[in-house]
Amino acid sequence: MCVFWYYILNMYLLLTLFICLYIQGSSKIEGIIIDPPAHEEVYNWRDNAFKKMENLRILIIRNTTFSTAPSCLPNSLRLLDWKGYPSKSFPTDFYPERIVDFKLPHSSLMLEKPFKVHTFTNQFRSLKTKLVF
Amino acid sequence: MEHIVGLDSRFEMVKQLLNFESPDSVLMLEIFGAGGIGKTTFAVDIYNKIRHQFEAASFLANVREKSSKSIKGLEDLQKTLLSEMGEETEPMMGSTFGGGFDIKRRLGHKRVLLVLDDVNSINQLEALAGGRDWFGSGSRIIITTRDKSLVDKHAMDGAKIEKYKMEELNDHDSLELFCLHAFNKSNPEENFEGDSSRAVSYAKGVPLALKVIASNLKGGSPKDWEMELEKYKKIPNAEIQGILEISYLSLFELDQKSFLDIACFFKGERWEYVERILKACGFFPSIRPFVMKSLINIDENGCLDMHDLIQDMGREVVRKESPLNLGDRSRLCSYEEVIEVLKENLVRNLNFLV
Repeated sequence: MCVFWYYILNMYLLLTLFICLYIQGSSKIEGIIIDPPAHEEVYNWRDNAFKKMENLRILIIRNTTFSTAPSCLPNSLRLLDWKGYPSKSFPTDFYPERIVDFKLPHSSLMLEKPFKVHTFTNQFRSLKTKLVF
Repeated sequence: MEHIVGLDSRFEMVKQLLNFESPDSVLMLEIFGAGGIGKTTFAVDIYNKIRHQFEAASFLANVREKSSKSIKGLEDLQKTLLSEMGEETEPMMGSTFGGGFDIKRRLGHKRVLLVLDDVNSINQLEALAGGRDWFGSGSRIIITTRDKSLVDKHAMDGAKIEKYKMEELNDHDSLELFCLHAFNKSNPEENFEGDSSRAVSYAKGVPLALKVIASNLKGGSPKDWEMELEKYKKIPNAEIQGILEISYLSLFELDQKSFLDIACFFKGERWEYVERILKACGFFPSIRPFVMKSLINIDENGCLDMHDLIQDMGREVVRKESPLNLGDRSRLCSYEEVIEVLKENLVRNLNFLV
């Protein structure tokens, strides 16, 4: 009997895992703005959070400091307005062909000497760690 | 164009309250009422009518929005206040802007008129009209707010306080305002008398609703009117959000997308700039349908102006796309929501399922 329930539980967890993957993979988000009234700092964010946002057209970040740089940015972007962009370079595979405006005041971006992005977190692995946790 | 209806009789009442006969005191008048009721329009009207009676005058619009936008918002407003009153605001080398202290020092002996439009917290009052001695005797401060009891919490050290409640328009004035927007004249066109009064009844005397309904119906045939009015009829309690949303739904699909982008990201930005971005998104943007429907205006600086309630309606449309799952919404515009998505989206979904 106990084994049976264990089996059911496992199936359930597996199902949730798939649903999570599905939810993750189908972001409908087209635009994001953060502009809090008082300055905010963000630690421990998923630096690959933008990876699955394939429909993202508008990204506006102001008055917020991120502890780490994004490891990917969607190539679908038309407007990137990120005050204080936290890295010296863009992610390596960032080629926003249809972008109309970069607004990157106070950023650490250095255009002459781009360097390779080092942190690539496997999406699946990060998911697994979170599940274990 | 702002049509003014039913404000003359109100102005007479406010004039009594402002009591120009007693030039020795400082008086604060609070105009309160719900959103869309016409407080700002009224305040502009009062300001234009009485400003010449004062040594200096300043109208600070959208105080709530400007002060919440950044930490320096209130300081910027203080500077605007001083410069509109004809005072120097650039500090001397090496000194910093003294905020309220500077206002008191420079305006303490001037008879001024100050209008603070859309105030919602005491901080704003403390920073912009901190005490009776900030302004010379005979000064008048007018504030508009949705919060009836706001001035009760800010005594201004014994300055005289008056309150004026902004009431809904009566049936006659409602019809007149409606007709000005629907037919460009103050009474209904032939064959539209019945439908006009029906439309007016849905707006419940709220000027913003009257304006938006009229703009939505404008130019249609009696048949179009019938069809549209059926939609308004279905809205429970004639809630203003629902009324505004009907105008949104009557836009073409791509205009709807542009509208939501503006409501979420671009209110207050220059239209030229926003147009360029929306064009790149493939929306073929045009400001015309929005202005025709009285949803968005372009101010004298070419910036997009949108009433708070209309912006709220747009954001609510986005929220309703997926009330529970943030990843299924088309746009995210609150700090907490964005951080949730960037941080622990996964964990949240798990909690939801387990």
